[in-house]
Amino acid sequence: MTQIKFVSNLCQACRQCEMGCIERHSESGAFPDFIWEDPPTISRIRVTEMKGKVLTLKCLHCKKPKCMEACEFDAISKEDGLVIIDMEKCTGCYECVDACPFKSIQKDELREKAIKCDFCKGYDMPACVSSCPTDALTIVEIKRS
Amino acid sequence: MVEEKKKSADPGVVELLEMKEKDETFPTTAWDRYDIMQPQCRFGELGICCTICLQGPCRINPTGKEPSRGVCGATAYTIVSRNLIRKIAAGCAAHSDHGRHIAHTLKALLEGKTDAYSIKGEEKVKTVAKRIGIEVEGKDTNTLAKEVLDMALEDYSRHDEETPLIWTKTIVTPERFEILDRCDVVPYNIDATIAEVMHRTHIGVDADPVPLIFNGIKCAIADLAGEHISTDISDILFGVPELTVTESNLGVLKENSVNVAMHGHNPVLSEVIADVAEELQEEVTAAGAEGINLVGICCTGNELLMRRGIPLATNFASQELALLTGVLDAMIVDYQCIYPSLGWWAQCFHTRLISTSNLCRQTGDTHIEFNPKTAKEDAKKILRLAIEAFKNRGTREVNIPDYKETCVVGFSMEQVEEILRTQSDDPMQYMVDQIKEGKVAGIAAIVGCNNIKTCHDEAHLKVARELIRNNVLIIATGCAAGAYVRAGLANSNATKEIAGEGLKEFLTTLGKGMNLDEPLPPIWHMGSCVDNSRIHDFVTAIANKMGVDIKDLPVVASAPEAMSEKAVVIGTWLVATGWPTHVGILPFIHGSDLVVQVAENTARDVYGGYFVFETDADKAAKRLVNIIKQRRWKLGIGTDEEIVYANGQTAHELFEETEEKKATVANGGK
Amino acid sequence: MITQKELFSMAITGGVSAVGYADVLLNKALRTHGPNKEIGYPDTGYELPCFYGWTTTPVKKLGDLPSLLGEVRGKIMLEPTYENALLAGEATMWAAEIVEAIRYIDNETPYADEAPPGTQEYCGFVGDPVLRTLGIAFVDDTIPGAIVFIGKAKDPKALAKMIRDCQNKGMLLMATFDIIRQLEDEGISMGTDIMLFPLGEFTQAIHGLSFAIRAALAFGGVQRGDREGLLKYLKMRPKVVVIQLGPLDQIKVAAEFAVLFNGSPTITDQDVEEIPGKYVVQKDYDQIIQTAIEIRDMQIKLSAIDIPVAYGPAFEGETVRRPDTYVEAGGPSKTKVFELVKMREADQVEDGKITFIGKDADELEEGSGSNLGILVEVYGKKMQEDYESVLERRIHQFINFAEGAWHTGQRSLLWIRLSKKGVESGLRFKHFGDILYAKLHDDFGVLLNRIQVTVMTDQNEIEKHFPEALESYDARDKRVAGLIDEKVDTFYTCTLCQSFAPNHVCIVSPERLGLCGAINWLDAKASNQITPTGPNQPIVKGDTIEEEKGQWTGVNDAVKEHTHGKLDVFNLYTMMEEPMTSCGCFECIVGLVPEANGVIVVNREHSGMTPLGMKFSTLAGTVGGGQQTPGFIGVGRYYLVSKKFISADGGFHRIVWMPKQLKEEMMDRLKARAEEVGTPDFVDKIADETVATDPAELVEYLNKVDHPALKLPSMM
Repeated sequence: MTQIKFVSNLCQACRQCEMGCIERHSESGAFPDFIWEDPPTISRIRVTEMKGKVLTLKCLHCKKPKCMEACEFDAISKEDGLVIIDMEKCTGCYECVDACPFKSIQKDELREKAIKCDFCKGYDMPACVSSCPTDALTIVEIKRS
Repeated sequence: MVEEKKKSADPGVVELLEMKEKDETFPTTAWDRYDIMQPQCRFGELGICCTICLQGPCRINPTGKEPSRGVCGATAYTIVSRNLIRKIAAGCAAHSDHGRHIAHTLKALLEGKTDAYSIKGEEKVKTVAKRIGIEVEGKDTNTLAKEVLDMALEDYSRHDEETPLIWTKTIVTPERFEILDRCDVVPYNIDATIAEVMHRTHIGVDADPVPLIFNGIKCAIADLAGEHISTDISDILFGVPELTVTESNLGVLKENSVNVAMHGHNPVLSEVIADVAEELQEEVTAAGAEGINLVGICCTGNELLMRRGIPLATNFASQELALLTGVLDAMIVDYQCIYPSLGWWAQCFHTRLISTSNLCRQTGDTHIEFNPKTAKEDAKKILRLAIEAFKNRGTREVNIPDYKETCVVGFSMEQVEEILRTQSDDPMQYMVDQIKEGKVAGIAAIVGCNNIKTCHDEAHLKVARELIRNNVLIIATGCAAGAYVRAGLANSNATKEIAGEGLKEFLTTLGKGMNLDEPLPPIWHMGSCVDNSRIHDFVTAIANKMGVDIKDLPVVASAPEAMSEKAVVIGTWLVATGWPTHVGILPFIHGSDLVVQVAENTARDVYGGYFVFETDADKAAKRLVNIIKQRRWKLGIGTDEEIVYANGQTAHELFEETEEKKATVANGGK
Repeated sequence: MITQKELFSMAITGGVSAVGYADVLLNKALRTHGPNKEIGYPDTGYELPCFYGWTTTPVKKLGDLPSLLGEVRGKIMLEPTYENALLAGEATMWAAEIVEAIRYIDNETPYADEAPPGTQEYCGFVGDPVLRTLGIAFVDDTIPGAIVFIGKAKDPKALAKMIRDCQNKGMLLMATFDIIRQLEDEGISMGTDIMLFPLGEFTQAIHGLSFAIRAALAFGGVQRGDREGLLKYLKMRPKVVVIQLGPLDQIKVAAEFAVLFNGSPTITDQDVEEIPGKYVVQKDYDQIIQTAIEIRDMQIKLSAIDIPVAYGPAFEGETVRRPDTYVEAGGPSKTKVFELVKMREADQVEDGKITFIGKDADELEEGSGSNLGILVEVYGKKMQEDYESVLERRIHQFINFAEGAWHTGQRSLLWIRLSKKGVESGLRFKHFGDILYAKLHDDFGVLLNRIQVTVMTDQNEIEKHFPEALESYDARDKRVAGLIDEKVDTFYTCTLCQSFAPNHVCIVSPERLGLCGAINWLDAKASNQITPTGPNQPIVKGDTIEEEKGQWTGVNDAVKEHTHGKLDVFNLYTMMEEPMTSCGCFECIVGLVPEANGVIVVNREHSGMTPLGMKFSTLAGTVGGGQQTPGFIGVGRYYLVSKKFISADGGFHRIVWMPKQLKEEMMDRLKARAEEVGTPDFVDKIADETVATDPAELVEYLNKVDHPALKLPSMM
């Protein structure tokens, strides 16, 4: 099982990961076209700060996801270890947003959907990881019982 | 919940910010926008993001891993140095262009193209002329002024590379000139030096950090010349500031008057506005107001405060909040340090934002291009807009924070000499003796801006209080001075309450000498940020009298809340002329060990001055006091009882710091 | 904690900064002065010593520097490794040398006003004469090593203690940065005459390194640009250690790697990851000097002497001037004085008995004169009467080593002063007893079993011993007068300098003393008695090959052996053919002036120009290093008045020029010798710098005074 690892000390808060994420999840999937898209795409990863330390808010793909429990529409499921929101089923009620203890789900209010990291399913490497210039974000193997 | 960071040391500002919080319709303040901006990009903060060529942006990994070089091959030290000296060039451009505009105003006057000005500083014409080597005898003021002007303009336009700037050669100690000349940092033409920096930092030109930095220093020396020209000609046109007692802070705004704030840096317009304001009294009365209440913000404010006692409403960081009082009818801006946010702030209030320089336009402004030839008409036009705005105030709540402090200002070099002359026929010798005796332990120049990264004004106040307690006389300019006049540190009470015994005695004696019942303030306001030239002159005069160089004197400089590129350039020339210079904000250079080492250490070896980077104001103040002690010891007029290293750390502190680091390592970096 | 990698990184960024700085200054200097501007330091024969040592390119003009700076800039690599840090060190060395050379353009004392008025002046570059004066002390381990102090100490008292300790151990010291001011606070005197050089605050530190490099060039016979030879030499000698106190910065670290590049380590009180043997941490100030001694394996020859002032070679050059004098004996005070070493029978000498008779300094009034007698009575199985004078001559040095004591003259023409500061610290005449007892034991323990010293200021007591003293002096003189080369069959070698000048050997005969002026035939004989395997080996003269020139089979063999086969023919009495080599610490240089058909003599104290067109320091560079240079020899000054002074080349009458000061100092002896050879007015015919500093002027003067050299056969 692979997961995205974040090392705060290495992070320079340049937000390149956010840019990469937006680019990948945008309609066009291309820079700079995504800048002018409407509605704009929201980054699934967020760079933020707490007590002077840089943090990233992103889905941890929990073993027992609180969001999945909270969803009344069966929109959230686990597939190959990933927590995935089915956009067809999502109604934008945002129960999951409140349920997530890691603040990793966001409201896409223009599309009325809850959005979160999908681990760039279908690509070799999540966009945030490949766009990180300092290897603060990397892919690691983790053991899960 | 984390306790909210304190935003300002000024209670009036805090009050307005609290009020602002309650109403969502108000626009964002710099504090809000700073919060939203978090976290800020480290690459930028470390100075290792290079966008000079279009192959970039290139960013160096500060953790030591790849990428270690830009696309062109530039390493961290090249990128940092280039970015740094571009900032220096920008700062120099701002100051020296300001000087040029004032010179052009004098030119217009001498050519008879304007009647809005006169030469108010006749004495100053002579002193400047003498200093720069012009024969004074038998010439009338206008002829002399013309010669001074020509020489000043020549410093902007000389093409003989072998001739140094007149405003460098004639304002530094001979020893200093020798050092600067040996290090090849004496400019021959201000504009050419700026161009040289821009050329040198272009893709594929200089990559060697030391020559790059030395070019930056050369540009900083050009900046000193530009600043000095600004001050000299401002004094010629508008008179040399004299001791004035007045009040400052937001409480000076008056509910029933037409409140006009003048914001920016250049006094050429604001002086005329102050001249013509009375002429419009009838119109004002007709509009239902008691009068026109002129106030200053930022350094235009300082210029007016120094020469006319016009109160300073607030300084840089809180410029937006002046509008929040609801009684500001016009904000007149010239240039530099004008928040672009003022445009939409003005849209939310009845306030007219009037821009006057074609260099500095704001969206949402009313632009009344200021021209020396039509200065009076322009000024009246502008004031009439304010009167109109007054009429449109509407019903918005009025919130004038009830805070204002008495301040004693106007400490120009000439005024300082006069004050000292009350004690001795040789004023500078008197000052030297006071320093040698230790009554005045040393002199601290506190300069520079506000920076939203720190609590507004707090660092200024902390550093100053600690120094004053330790008998260090403070000379201040710019927004630092703006903080002191508003916080009540630039008055006699401050001397009585916090000054150390020696300093108190010194200031009381001088106060008596000036026939005042009260002591002089412990902080001498020397003017706007361009008037750092006065700081330079004062300390250079002391050095010359003592027969040493500034690098030997017990002096320190501090920019606790440095913000602008002008602050970067001022810091640079302070260091290059021998001042230990504290900066309370990390400038964008820490991505290169080399550049930091050069700034903190190697500069000391070469120039005698050096940077002290310390973001904790309390620690910084202690280090500055220590540096004063260290320099007194080195000069042979003090002891070194507690071993102080040149950077202001004591042997004990250095030891503790190492132990601390050790403990951190032992705890796995936590 | 600064890791090794960070340390290397600091050295490298320091190197980059240093060369960048040098580059800026050099370009400016070139624009101001042009490429043909001559550069160099005052009083040295080694141009810019760091370049002289490390590169074959002569550096005489500003225009010579850019290519060299470019070369070294090209070597700097950024990856933080030890090797790259050393390269950065080399670059820093050259950069600093360039920066300093620029400071010395058109200014011989650029640092005179550097420190604030009223504080210790910085000395900057230290010239060759100081180096050569210290030469003999360096080679015989009286000076065990040199220590360069950098930075600022966290405890000035402990620093002062360190300095005292070093001085008592005889070390050469250099102070830089704030340490200078700290030492001043602690009342420690500094100067080039007392082996504690206040170099300055920044690139001036390079002059410490330059001193070491010049030692290699002057004494080691290392040739210009022989990098391997230089490095090999510097690893052995002189033993330099850098002590870095207080916070590190990139330039200091780069400078320390420059020193490391030259084979010497650094000790620091900071938290640094050690490089064993090279960059060592010692935070305990009491241990730093010991660490330095161990790291360089220094041999401390001086033992501690229990007197209230510092004691060591540093103070040999110290002068006590009249205003600083507390009490004086002999000299202008015209009091009765003598010093005498006398051999006695065993039962007449009680070992360790030190007696003082009379009033000591503290009982005398400030500014007064005092009688003084110093009687050293010795007994030893190997002791011979001949050695009395050898021991007696050492009294001068032994007393001068004490801080605050000043000794000159000899026998009953003694002149001694104690300084106010010394007396205040507790120095007394009676301490001469302690000093002489300890030092004679140390240096001559093999010869002497018992030593007793009597120091007296009491007039009656002095009168009691005075006749014996005069009698002894007279007897000795008579014996020495009969001691001529022809009458002995044994000469001695002196290879004392070989640790410094590996291919040099002095041949010491009764009529030609060692070129340093410190070893005569009797000294060598005594020294051989003390250490039979030591530097002074007897040579049996063997068969005479050239009587006039002074060539013998036994001597040739000895020379061949001791120069490791470099020389096999040697003449004692000529300077024109296979003359004696020179190590570097010669007192005087004798040089041929063909136009004058004679020789000039120049002593190392003379810093002016000579008629040869070279100053002493330049001449010394061509003569030293263990080479035979026909036409030039280094000599001890008393050889000038020897009967065997270049006797094969015409002898004493060949002297056509010597500095005025030297002439005056030697006036009595020169006159005596002039009378001996039947030309009583000869001394006045010798020109000096006041009448001639070039050959044309010289010849004109010689013609005017009818100098005898002009009539001698051609020397060439």
